[in-house]
Amino acid sequence: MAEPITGYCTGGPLDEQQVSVRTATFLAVDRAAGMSWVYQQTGDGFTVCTDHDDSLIYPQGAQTGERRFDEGRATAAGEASSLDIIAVGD
Amino acid sequence: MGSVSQQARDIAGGIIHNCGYKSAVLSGVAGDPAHLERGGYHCSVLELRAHGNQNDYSNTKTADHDQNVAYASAIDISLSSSEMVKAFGRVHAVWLDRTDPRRVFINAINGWDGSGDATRLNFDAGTSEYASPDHKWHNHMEIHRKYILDARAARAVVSIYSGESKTAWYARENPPRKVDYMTFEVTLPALQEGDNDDDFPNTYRRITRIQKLVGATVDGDWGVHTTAAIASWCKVDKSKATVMTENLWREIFGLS
Repeated sequence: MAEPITGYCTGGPLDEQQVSVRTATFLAVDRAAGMSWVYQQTGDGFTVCTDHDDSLIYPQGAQTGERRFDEGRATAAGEASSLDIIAVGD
Repeated sequence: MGSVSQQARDIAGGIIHNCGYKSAVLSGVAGDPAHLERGGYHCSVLELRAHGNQNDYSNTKTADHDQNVAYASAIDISLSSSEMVKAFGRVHAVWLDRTDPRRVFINAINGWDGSGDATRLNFDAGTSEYASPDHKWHNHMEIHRKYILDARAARAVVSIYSGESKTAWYARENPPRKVDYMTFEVTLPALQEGDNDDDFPNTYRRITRIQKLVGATVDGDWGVHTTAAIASWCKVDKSKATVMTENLWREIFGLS
């Protein structure tokens, strides 16, 4: 396991929260709401990505970074341990 | 990349969908390049060997060493903060109870109780240790390699995360052998197959074969020990076993 990268998040459900992750890009997932967000390392922290990115999940809101959570594709990515995934919501 | 067993998928799917966690998401099974460099249960034994890590901690114990060599044997499940605490409580209860039979399948589980550092609960050693801060948002469970293709082990891990008691799990895994009474009656004619007379050697042989079947002391003497063993074997009370043995007795001696 890589040494965790620790930093504060900007935007999305983890705004102003400190996280420690193992991948420079990670997902935040609210499974109950069916939504997800991509965060990318920027400087000392992480910023929610507002670009469309259909590599893992479907784009839905380019301005907010909200994307529809596709559990099947996320599960395949999870099995491969390709991205850290932080669960949010209740 | 190490293979992901169906049992690992069953564990992940069971925890995500059947244990009452609304936020649960699978976040890792097979090892990524960082895992491969450092070893651990996310790597298969084949990957450990390929990277010179064959003596890694995840491949030294008897329950791990060179077993199911193609498969990853760790699972990461991400949970919301409140559900991390909920899961920790359930896992911690099993870790505390040295008599819980589900412990045998697990090397360690990393999680978070909601305050301070994340914690690694070592099931083999019975110790509680520091875990890196990424375990505040995901559970990391290490299944002994011996059991990563074992459906019962998979059910045990899901059971732990569901909060099921050891008693309930054991009862579910070991239901009363309702079929055994029928099995016994079906087996009896087979025991007597070829016995066409009622001379002493055949009677002795019939009794001893029944005693072997039900786990009684094999002495050829019918007695309360045989009746008790039949009752235990068939999971019936003694009164029913007595009727059964009377019937058996008649059959053995050809009485009507």
